[in-house]
Amino acid sequence: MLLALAGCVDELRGSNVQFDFSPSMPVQASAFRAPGAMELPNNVHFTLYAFSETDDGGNVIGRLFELQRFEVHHIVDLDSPCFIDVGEHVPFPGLHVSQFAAHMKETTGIDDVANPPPGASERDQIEVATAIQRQANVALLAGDDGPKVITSWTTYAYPAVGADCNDASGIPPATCTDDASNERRLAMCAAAWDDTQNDHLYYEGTDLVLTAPLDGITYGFVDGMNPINLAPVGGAQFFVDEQLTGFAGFAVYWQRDDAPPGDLGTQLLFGRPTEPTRGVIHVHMTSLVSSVTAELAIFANLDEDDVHF
Amino acid sequence: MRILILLVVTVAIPACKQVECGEGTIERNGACEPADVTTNGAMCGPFTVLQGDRCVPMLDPTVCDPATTQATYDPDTGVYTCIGTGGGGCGAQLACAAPTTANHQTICGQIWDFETNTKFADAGATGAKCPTTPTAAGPCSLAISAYDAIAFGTNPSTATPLSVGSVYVDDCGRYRLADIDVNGVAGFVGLGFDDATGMGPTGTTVTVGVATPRSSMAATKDLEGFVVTQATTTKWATAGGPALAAGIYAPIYRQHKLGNGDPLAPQANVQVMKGATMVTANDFYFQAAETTRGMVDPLANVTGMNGTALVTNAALSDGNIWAGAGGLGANCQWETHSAASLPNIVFVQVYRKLNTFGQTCND
Repeated sequence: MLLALAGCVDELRGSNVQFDFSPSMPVQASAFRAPGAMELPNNVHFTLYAFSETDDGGNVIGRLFELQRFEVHHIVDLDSPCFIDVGEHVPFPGLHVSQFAAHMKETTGIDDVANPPPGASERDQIEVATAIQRQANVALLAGDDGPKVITSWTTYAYPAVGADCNDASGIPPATCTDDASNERRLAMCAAAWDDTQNDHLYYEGTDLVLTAPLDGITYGFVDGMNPINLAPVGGAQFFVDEQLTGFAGFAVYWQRDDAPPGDLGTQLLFGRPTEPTRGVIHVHMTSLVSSVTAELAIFANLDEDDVHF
Repeated sequence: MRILILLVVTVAIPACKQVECGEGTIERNGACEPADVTTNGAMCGPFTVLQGDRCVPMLDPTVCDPATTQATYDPDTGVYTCIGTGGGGCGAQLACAAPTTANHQTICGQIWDFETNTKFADAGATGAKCPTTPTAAGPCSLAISAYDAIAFGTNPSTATPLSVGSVYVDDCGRYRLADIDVNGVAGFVGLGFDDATGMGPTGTTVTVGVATPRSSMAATKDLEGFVVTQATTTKWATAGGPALAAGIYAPIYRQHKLGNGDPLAPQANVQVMKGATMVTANDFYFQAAETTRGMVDPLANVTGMNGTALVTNAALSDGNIWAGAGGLGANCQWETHSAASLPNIVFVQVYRKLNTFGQTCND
């Protein structure tokens, strides 16, 4: 006897949300310095909401449904105490990246790569030249024109930075380049990244692989340019649990991390949906307070999409 | 023969649960959940509509008269201002609105006489838009073209101008290239300033180039353009400076980091650097006390009061490594740029100061 059973599979009933933020999208400052011009404070986050409105006896009631929290950071943070080199392939594990060129010069004894001391090996000269170039690249990435990255959100904060190289109570300052400091910095940063409160959500970027941060999640980039090779970058996406058809609008707010529940913060972007292509919701989002814009594409009802997902 | 009878039994199992959420809820993970925040449209007055937690006008709150003004965004204040597109004299701000379509950029600025370091304006200029027919001299004798700067720097003879929505030049020497099509431009947009009646060293100016980063749907304001007469380049060569025929790259070093002071103030005592290397065979400077840019001092090895150098044998293939040494306060460093000295062209690049790693430059 052949028994045929009609089964039931629970598909993902959520949605795929794809963003293109314009280059003027505000970016959060480093947690380790005051915000600069055009930067938001560090202790804020962005939230994407779906918006619906209903007419309750002639009175419009608006409802905002939180879909995704995220942060926007410079891709690397030279002021972060844990912007370090990690892994077996790096020459100085635990060294703060801001000190890489100087430490390479010190290690090889080549202070001026254009005038190396007698006997300097070609390999060492290459290492120093490469380190100088890397330092220049890092400065470009960390600068105002560097890529802005859409990242995971957390309220976690690193342990304090030590008073000096001998202060074992905190992360060694970036300028401490001795082996003991590097070892301690590596251990403390690795522990911070593994902290259960962090849950691998605190963003710490690296210049080595732009899409694979040392900690945290990279959802994508604000539209812009990689200042090193002038290649365009941009586009970010989330998978959310919500089914997103039938909403009147979508909004992005930014608010303080310690804002009380229900405090939306400041509306940054808002747009109303259109559906120019079957199965894809498009939202052109604009701002009331700045020139920032965003294009939002939503693939809703993923359980019914047997082509893209 | 044995007959095998197959009995096929289909057992119908109820289909997957279909969720239909009621008004005011959202389907999340297959369940219906209430809103995180509720807002009340009762606060919205006539002609406004609820947008999240805000009431916004149904129509744009400010509409600039398109015939006489442009809505120009100030990123410092977040305010759009209607700026007139005519009149107001040379002291009035030139409207410079960002394009509204993707892959387009608008660039605006003032044209300067490179030698005299003064605004390149007609005597008695009023801010009148240049006539369609070029004049014999002054800003209205010029043509401004936009290029992919990398393509132009690699081979000017094969680079093709970018499509531009409109070019505005007035008798004050102010210019605006609106809606430059930057689709396909990788990194930088270059502007070429030359005589409308023909490119080349004769006329009002030799060919002069400047560049700025590509930025889609943005307005680049205050990009300085320049004119350089053939008499000026001849004067440089006669005094021992570089010859125009080989191409001249002209870095101008500025005293202040952007936002810290007069953005036009020059920086003295700067030596041109190609990465970590001095280019003593290819750099030229002006007489130390000269605030204009006429007299080259072949013995000088740093910038004088005009903050300017002239460089030959620079090439894009050198990479983004050209900068400067000297003239820096604590925690400051010079920007790096690519450079090119192209035959019969003066390419001008403004260098500004930046913060060093993790520090604040107060220059």
